[in-house]
Amino acid sequence: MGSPSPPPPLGLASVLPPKEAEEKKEKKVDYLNLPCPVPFEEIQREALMSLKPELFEGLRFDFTKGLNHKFSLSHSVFMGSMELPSQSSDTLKVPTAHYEFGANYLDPKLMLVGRILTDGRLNARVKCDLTDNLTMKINAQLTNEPHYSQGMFNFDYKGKDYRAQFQIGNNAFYGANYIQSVTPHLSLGSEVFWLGHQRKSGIGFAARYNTDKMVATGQIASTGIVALSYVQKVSEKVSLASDFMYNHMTRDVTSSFGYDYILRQCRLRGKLDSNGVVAAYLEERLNMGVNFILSAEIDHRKKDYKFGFGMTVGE
Amino acid sequence: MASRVSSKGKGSKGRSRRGRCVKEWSTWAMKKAKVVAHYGFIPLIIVLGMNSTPKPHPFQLTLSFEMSEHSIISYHCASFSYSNEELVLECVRDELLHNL
Repeated sequence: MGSPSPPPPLGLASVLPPKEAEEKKEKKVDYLNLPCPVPFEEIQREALMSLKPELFEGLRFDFTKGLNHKFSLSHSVFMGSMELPSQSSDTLKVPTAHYEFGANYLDPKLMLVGRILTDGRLNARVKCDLTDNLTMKINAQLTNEPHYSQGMFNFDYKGKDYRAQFQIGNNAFYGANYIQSVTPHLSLGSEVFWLGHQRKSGIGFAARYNTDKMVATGQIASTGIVALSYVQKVSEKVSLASDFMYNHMTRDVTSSFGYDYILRQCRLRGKLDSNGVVAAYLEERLNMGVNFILSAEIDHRKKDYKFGFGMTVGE
Repeated sequence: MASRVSSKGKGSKGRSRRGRCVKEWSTWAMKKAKVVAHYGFIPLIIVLGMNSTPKPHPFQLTLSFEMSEHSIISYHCASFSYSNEELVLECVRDELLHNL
């Protein structure tokens, strides 16, 4: 006596293919063929993209002119207030206005991005593919004032299912990090750094679990920082993100919750913070290559209200 | 014994002097490299970009906006015949005739 055969399908079910074919087969995990993980510094990129847009106060105008598909120039004007970090709870705002000229050269193997401001500060980024798997990145901020310039060299090696990075910075900063895919969805990484001039060193660990619909990350460092984040992709157009950060040294706890709507003509990001900060950032596409930007940040606790508007022309 | 001690002292002084020398030279080199990078990075990008294919016209380096159809026509004429002045003049003349 075998098991009874299933009843014949009725109605529409007889036309559609049988359900067994639709169900995803339980794939046996091939631990030798895991995907390459994201770079260590981008482990929280989805949460950062949704929760930390570039909020600004004042007027911002960016014009990018492409001369050919590799080379473009950019002109950027900013007029508004910039916040200076201050020890007390009061916010210190300085009115600034600057013009920034930039040049970009984008080659598959070499990327050069330079931005120079009216006060002589230069922001330079270089990314060079030395071989198929080894990439060198240079990040520098050079100023006219002595001892204020900063630079960082990064050497990235991309393996089959791991990535390793070595960093050298000014002020005798040395850092290294390594991230490995452990399962098709989970990757674990760690980093160490050494600050020569202050004789400080630190170690940190990170984990990232991602599926098609969600990304969860956790980071803990010996500097006393614990950071967790969770991003859920609710639909093609909507993502919700949340973030938790605890600083053991300053006993600072911050948690934020935000949304990211990517619609056809606009992108709207908003967030709510445990520090009493509500922020929103809207990028509206008015025309081909013309974007209108609105930025708002309301800090209820410090009574600090920042509103900005701007336009971006060009790609 | 005293001579041995004095020779040891001179050896370590020599090593520290050489170390200081190396440090001074490397600091001097880093300072010069910083000045070169500060002034030369953006011109380097522009030179690399102007030499990439398709070769852009030097006129495009200026802040020129293609707001009207007429300006686009004259701009394209100029960029197509960068090396041929006569053709440029002809395009500009045709442009003026069309405007009239």
